Amino acid sequence: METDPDPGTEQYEKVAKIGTGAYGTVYKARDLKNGGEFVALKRVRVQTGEEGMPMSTIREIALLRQLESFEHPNVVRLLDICHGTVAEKETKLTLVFEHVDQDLHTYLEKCPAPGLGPDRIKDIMHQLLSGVEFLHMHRVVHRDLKPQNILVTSNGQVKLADFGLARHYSFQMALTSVVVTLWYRSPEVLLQASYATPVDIWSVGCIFAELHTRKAIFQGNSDIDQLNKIFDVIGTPCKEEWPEEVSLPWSSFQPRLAIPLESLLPEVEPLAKDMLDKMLCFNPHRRITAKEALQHAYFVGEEAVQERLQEAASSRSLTENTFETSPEK
Amino acid sequence: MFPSAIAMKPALKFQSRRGSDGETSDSDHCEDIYDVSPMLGCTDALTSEAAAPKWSVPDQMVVDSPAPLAPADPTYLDEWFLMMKSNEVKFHPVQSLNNQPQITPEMRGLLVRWLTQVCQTVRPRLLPETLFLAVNIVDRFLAVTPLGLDCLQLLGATALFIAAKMEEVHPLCAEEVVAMCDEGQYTRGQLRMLERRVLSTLGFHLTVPTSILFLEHLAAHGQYDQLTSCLARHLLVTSLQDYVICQHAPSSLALAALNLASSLVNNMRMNTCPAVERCILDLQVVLMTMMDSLPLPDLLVACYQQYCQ
Repeated sequence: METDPDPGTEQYEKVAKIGTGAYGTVYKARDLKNGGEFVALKRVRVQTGEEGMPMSTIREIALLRQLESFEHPNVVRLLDICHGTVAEKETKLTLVFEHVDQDLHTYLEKCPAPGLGPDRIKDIMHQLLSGVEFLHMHRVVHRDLKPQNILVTSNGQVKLADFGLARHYSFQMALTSVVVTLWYRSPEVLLQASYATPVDIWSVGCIFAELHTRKAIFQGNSDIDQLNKIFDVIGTPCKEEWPEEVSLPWSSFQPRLAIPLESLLPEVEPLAKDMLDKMLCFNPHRRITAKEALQHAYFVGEEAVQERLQEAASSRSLTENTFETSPEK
Repeated sequence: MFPSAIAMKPALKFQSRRGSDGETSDSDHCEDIYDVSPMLGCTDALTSEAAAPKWSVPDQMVVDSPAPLAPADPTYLDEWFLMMKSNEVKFHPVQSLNNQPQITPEMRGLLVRWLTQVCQTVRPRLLPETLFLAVNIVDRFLAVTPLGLDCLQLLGATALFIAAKMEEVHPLCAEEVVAMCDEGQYTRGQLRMLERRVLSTLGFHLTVPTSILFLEHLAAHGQYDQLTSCLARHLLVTSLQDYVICQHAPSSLALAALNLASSLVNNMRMNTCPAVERCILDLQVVLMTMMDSLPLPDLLVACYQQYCQ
């Protein structure tokens, strides 16, 4: 393919354009120094004037780096940052991510009938929540979780992508003609009331439902339509729960009663239904946290298995280590 | 005492210092290094302790930067702290001057002292976090890049420029930073060039667990009184200049500073691990030097005034 015009990225050979948007271009490329392994290159242009690298860029990249330093299994790897040419007033930065072929959206599309089994759903949910918990621990709110930016590797590992810098640029996307999906937005985001960690749990709840049915649970086409679709299912909240100082008054929505989630998801297990109810809670303060969700009875069975596996693994490594001289602490 | 005092042509200044002070200059050398001059703003560490503990990622980021940071979520305070602790070894340079042909621990000490004074004299005063991050940036850069002595002050200035962008609500502007250095010594272009170089070299790893971060967490969540934590802060800020002390792990240093301060203020010592004990021994030397020039009650008052007001 074309030769890369950016110095600093010679190590990567582009093979295809994955996407373009207001934020820049994303390429699939080969990492020539690592046996031609595929990577995703995200090009970002930064305005650099008299004051050098802008504060916001420094902070955002530092944040991505900080998250990366923990190498969480459910977050996409940031492999490298290339500092490209410095033109008059612009610096080109290239973020090099691991490349994962498939996102959750395609994964669900390709999944043959009758859809995912309950064990597979539970596994995906556990990985998804682990990734979200990790972000929240670091005070990062993804704010745009949806099947399109959740990656699924060929061996079934779930990885969150497009947080940090990408999100910043997605604001610009909202200003352009690119359509931004509302389907996973929480009521408080739609009402423009608050943007804390619970907004991600709402999105995870929507995705949880979608894993069962393979179609989005709330398919609105405007902010108000989206809220109405939500209230059709969870019912209209009581007046006390309505956030203060939002432009849409409580009275502008017709009162409705909640419908049981089983009617939408006929095959849902009772424990899964209980967790979903707690995720799709109107009041963000009462919504379940990622940490609580991971301790929910829905997962307990799986965790017990994990513990047993870990115990088995550690006892095995103990026997192996007995024969090695360990350095004195 | 003031930036100008050390901000001469670094090479000449450093050499003349060493020449006149000789080998055993510890006492008189330390007297001014460890003095209680007006210190960094204590900001709101203690006045607003209920609201939020101070993190290396300050709250202003939420307002100020488009980075998607949420307010500190109390659900995750402990986990967050443990993760930072598990990460500290990655960003703590040990023996950073080993490969420097020209720069010695004494010169590093002078640079850090200059940075400390700059942080106090700039208005508004800079956060302690900014100072600690700047020193960390200097050390990590020196650990991998041999630097000429004539560039040492520029490195300090660049590190402060970057650290302020990470930590402060109002970052320093390039012109201000250049003006802090020796007159006519460096240009804004050089500052921006070195900034680029430093960012590339450190790979934008700028959220690092420094000792002040651990101290603020422990002070906000432990059973320490204000006097103790103020003295501990002062101990940490002062020992930043000491190359030997900076070899200790930041979290151990923070705990040691609190322990030592607590033993002085309340006559209480807690049992700690050997790593912390070693820190305490080193910090004791710093503390003794402080108390040589200022009796303990006056020292405590001075610390309290600096860090609690």
